Amino acid sequence: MQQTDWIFAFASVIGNSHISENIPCQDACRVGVFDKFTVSVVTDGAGSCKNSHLGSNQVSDFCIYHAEKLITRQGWVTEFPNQEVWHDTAKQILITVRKDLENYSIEHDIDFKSLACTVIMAISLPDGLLITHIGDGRAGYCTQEGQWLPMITPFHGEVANETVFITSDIWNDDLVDLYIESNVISGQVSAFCLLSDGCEKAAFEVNLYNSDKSIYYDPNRPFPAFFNPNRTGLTKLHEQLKSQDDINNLWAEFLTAGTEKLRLETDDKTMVLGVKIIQAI
Amino acid sequence: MFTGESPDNYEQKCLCVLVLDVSGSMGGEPIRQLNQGLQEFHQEVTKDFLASQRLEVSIVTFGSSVKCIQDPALVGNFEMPTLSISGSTKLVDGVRLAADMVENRKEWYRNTGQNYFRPMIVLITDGEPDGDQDVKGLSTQIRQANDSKKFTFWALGVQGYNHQKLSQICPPNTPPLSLAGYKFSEFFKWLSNSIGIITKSAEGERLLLPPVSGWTQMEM
Repeated sequence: MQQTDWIFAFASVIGNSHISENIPCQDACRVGVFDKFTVSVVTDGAGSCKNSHLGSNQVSDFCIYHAEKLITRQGWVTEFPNQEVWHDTAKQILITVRKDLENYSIEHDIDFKSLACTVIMAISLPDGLLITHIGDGRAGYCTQEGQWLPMITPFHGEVANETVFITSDIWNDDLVDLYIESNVISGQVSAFCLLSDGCEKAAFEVNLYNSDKSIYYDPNRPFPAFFNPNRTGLTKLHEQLKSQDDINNLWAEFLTAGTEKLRLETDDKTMVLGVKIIQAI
Repeated sequence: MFTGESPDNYEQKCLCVLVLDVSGSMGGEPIRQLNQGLQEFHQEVTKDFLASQRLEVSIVTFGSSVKCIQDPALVGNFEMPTLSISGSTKLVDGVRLAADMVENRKEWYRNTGQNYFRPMIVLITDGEPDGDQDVKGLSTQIRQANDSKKFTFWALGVQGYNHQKLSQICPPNTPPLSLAGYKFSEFFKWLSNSIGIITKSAEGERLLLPPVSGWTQMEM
């Protein structure tokens, strides 16, 4: 008999500028592996907010907790939701997470807005992937045929790195669908990635030049030469029976300086890489 | 083990327009020091890999007339010009030209699909605007631009400048700074370090810029 499983590498590493300015890492990530589904979260605290490192960690924990409860309750392991159902449900999860964050701010006497962070959450189910997000960062997946594709569009304001956060005032009916994007990737997915914007220039094609049209553009394309070797690397580490901590430590090393772009990046860097494996039982 | 290659993405741009006083009173030592500071600024930015890929510098001079002597360009794409003095102080016209250039460049960024950081205008003057210059109108324009986050505005006063007039022009959150002696080199070193930080920051981030103690003096 065969069994399908997901294996992961996930880590957050502090950016060079945050080290020199004595600011904590404001990114966070979590992966929850449950019976027949997984929940992965990447959060990126707002640079302008002094408690955003707390916000990103809390939001990551709350997302895992509420998503796990919801998937179990909805029975989506056997019945994959459609786009509309998932989007409505994703909004409900994020509203609940925001409420939990508000309660946390009250309990700890912290200004709620100072906990600002973006959030990307992906749920892998037997019949596909569910993804939702607020703000920037990137996410992509690899088809069974080996093609890497984007699964969200980051939200950017007028100037670079301007975005919205889970704490932003985006929750009334007129606005919420502009700022929360949810997508359903049905069918077989062989790998996926979630990353904070600190990793995007190293791992995605995000700012290329079209000389025919004399314009720059953002293809929002996961870069295969970045992801495919790492997918192989993760599989090998799993075969070597490395612990999750060992894998994550190696992943953190790679995110720190594994390519020249990663080495030069000054922002915090966070990435979750999930790879589907089939093993005999 | 983990390994991989990164794609060749272009960097997002950050425009800095230097608005420089070349009026007669800047003659002699001040203009010599300013020219030396500009050369060192060019060298410092060139040495910072990310800043050199992101920072576009433009230069406007004002004396009896106003000129753009350097269109926006990455530091690797131009040589820093040598300034020479010319007459009176059309300060307001100089800053207004810089503000127009910022808007034009932002439109070009948008039309060509480029991301950009909030542009900045840096004014350096040792005098006060000519009597026919609309200081009040400029003050309103700068404050509105500051409030609507069109650009950030910094002003540096050089020995003999009119602090009251410059304070009137500057937004309250960035009051004018006063240069100690002719320490242009130290100022431009600070500016290149600050730009290095700004071009690596996230929008809205509280920026911890380097201390200004090496080149400023208090002006009451």
